[in-house]
Amino acid sequence: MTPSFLIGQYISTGSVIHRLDPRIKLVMVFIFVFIVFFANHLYSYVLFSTFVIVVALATKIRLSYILKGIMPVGIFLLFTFFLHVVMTNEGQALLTIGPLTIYTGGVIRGIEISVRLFLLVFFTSLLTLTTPPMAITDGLEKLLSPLKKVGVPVHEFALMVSITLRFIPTLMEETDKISKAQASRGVDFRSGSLKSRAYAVVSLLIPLFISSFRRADDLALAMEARGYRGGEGRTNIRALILQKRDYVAMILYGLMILLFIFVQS
Amino acid sequence: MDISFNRVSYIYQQGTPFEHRALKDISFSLNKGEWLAIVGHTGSGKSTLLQHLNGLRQPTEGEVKVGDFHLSKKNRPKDMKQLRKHVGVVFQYPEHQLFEETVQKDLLFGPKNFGIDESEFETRVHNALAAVGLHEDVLERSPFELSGGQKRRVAIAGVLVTDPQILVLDEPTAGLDPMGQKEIMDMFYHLHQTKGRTTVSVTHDMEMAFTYADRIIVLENGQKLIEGTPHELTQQETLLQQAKLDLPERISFVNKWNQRNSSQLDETMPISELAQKISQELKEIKDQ
Ligand SMILES: Nc1ncnc2c1ncn2[C@@H]1O[C@H](COP(=O)(O)OP(=O)(O)OP(=O)(O)O)[C@@H](O)[C@H]1O
Ligand SMILES: [Mg+2]
Repeated sequence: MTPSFLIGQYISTGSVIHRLDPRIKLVMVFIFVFIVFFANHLYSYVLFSTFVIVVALATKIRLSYILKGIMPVGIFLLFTFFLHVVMTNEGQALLTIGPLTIYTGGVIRGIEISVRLFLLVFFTSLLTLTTPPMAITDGLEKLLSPLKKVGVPVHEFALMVSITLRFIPTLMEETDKISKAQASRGVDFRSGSLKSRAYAVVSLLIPLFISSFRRADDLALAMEARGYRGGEGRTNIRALILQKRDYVAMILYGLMILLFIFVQS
Repeated sequence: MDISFNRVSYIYQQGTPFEHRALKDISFSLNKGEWLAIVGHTGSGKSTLLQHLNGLRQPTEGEVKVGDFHLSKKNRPKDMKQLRKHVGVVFQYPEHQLFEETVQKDLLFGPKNFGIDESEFETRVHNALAAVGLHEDVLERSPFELSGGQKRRVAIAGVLVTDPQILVLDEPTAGLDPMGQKEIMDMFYHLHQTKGRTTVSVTHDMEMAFTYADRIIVLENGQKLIEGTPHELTQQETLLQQAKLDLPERISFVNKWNQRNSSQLDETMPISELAQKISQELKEIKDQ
């Protein structure tokens, strides 16, 4: 089970980007998602690309590895590109294939959209590559905590998400183990009739369900035994406190946005 | 069926930052009817090695031969099921693989998958249950309402029921009480002795390895550090310590005794004889 799909995978290198406050990173990604769609000037794209590449280099994760990880999204990008090329009827006609005419406007729009999406996915994957899932959840909980005042169960939601994230690797490990055990007893998950394959899946799912229930039970007991009583008055062991580097990052990011506004107008 | 490993290496998640070389250049061979114990500290690659024996993993480099089946990076036997029928694997906590409504159905899961003739089912189930020391009463019960020890036995019976030529055991007694551990290991030993089953067992427990195995391989960090008979291993205390393993209590005692009193006690003799010899030597020392 090799993770060809890198999105959501944390790689620790201890770089400055890794150590930034998750809240700062979340807000930056959020703003980025927003402003990338306002870009319509060549220099804006150059600016964003430079920015994203500088950040990527600062993470100390191999660039080729990051690119390989977002490769699966490439197919989606190509699809959007062709859709725009084919559907847009602006500018000069470039060539005609059967009933389809391709216009310069279409090509330009296609490229624009693809570049925007690429920048977006690239930048977002930098967030998940450099921030452990737990830290992302903590950050989200803090950012959304004002919503508690209007009765949104932010803490419960964050807890649910972190428990889920925590148990994904465990479940995968468990799946791997049980499928090996059943394969040793002659199950073939890859071939055979539909019925025999369905039975093979049952031999995997039932043990998985049983162990998940057992784990859920154990976890609930362990939490109660340690006095967990919900989010009320609860403090965080990894207190999020803004450091100097976070302010520096915010200032640099702000400058980048100013530059962007300047370039656009 | 004979087993041989020829310069086998295994790399997890090759080509990613998580790449991990779990086995490094491992070679050994094992004759039919032998018992080989693989010992090593946690993470030394024991389970990874075992999983090559029935094709759950294919070597990244080198070649594994089990009888007429050859496994290498490129070569995956076509009749993998046949290989798995001949090599029975008991995993750590095997009771986690139980899933059927009744014990009987769960026991027949393997035989059905391997296409064993239905006329044999009854005798096979009977024999497997007898081997693990369970009463036939359990057959109609749900495996999930049995005790922990019973579940473990049912799961082991579910592997024995296909009557494999080679038994592969990955810490089959983990989490059992000492009495239960001994019963289960004795049962495997009995199969090994009476039916000549080739056995490969993994354990942390040196005492266990010394009690049952004809030969022991010590792994450290994916490399073969020592290979030898239990007797040969008694002379390798320093190397064993490097692999974070201790000799069984009795053997290290005899070693120390021999050193201090420059005597020649043999650690393989029965414990009562050993005690007699020691008290004899003690008297001699006193008399001097
Ligand atoms: N799926 C996997 N992906 C990456 N690395 C793995 C994987 N499975 C095991 N490893 C690594 O390979 C090494 C050997 O693992 P293995 O399970 O063979 O050890 P072991 O000797 O059986 O240990 P234990 O006594 O704890 O069962 C370990 O360092 C482990 O972290
Ligand atoms: Mg193991």
